[in-house]
Amino acid sequence: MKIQAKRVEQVRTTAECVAC
Amino acid sequence: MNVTKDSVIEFHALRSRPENEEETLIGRPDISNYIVLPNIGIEIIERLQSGQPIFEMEAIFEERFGEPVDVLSFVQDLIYDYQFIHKVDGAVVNEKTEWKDHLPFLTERLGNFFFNRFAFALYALLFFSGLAAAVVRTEYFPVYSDIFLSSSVTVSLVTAFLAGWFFLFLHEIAHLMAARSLGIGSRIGLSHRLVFMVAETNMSNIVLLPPHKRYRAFLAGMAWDGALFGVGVWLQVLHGAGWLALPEIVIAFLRMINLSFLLGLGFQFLFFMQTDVYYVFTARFNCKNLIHNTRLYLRGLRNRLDEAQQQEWEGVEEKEKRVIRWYAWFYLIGMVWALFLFSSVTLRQAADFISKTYDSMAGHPVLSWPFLDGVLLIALTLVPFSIVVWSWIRTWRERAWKMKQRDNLTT
Repeated sequence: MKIQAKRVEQVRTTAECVAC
Repeated sequence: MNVTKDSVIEFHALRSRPENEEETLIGRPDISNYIVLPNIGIEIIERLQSGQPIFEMEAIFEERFGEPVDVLSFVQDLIYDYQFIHKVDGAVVNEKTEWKDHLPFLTERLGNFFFNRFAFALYALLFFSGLAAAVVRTEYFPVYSDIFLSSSVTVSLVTAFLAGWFFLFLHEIAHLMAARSLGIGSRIGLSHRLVFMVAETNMSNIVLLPPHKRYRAFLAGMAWDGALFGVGVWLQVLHGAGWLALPEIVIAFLRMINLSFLLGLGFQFLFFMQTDVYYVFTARFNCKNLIHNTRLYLRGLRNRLDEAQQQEWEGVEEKEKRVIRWYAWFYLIGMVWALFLFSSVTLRQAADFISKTYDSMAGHPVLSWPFLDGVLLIALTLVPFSIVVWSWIRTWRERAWKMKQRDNLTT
């Protein structure tokens, strides 16, 4: 029996700069 | 570095949260690496932490399940893939790292003041009332030419650049404060999404909270942007009605930042990238790793999965797979559309602007205002592109370093 893990993604909230 | 069935295993500090009766989320808060394990995996980690050797465990489990349990290969995964293990037989296999929160002086209490239910209701009211006012009275609705607040291109672009960066980080500070109000520390940095430069707040330890408690932190940035947009519209309305006299330059500034807020809010809805709306979406549907698993799905459709990827795809929850089957369309169409938009609009505009600026510099001596003016404008235009390239290189290097570290350990 193999033990299978599920990866959890990192949480990186963002903002894009239109005027930069 | 070899692990044997009687190796002594020493773990990094781990934190966990039960997901349901069969599974637990567990990980290293210092590098924000988290996985979801079945109960047997958690039991193995606990037994290893208490010093029980692998061979003893394998005997116990074989008796319990009536089949052999591959504890050794699981321990190898814990070392190489998840980096949960600090030392094997006294030798360091994964270095300790220290996570430092940014802006620790912004307290939990302050975060609660700005990001509670009442505050969010106020932000929503400001945004939607402002949006309604701008739809009814279209002269208050942002248009592209609002980016130029002065007849001087240089003054306009320098102001837009400075205001843009200021409000960019204000958005991130909103995320940081809202996460802090939930007891989660974050770090702010610069990065890229696809081909766009972004500021980002790494609040990965928020997965230690159940999904329904995370919305506050995900929506905080848009809430402030939206509220400020609403305030900008209402100030213009009051000015237009003659109830509040504002200097023309202030009105021009409000129009410029309102354009930037509206486009910035629009960007968040491009949820085929990891934007704020994407995280709200994944919390709502309880997806663990939506974009990564969508890429696996699309590779699988073309029969391009290796054995490890195939196993990983098979381990994805049925619920998440159902979401992926329709999300994949958004992902594909969104990617193509964003790349088309970037190359046909953003890149072309920047190239046009740089070539026009260059033409206006030609014929002037190097130490003259028109020439220096041109240098400044070209430099400002290149900043976001440079940051994207720097962020790409950083990502490639990190990936290469991880691969190299893995190879070093496994040989």
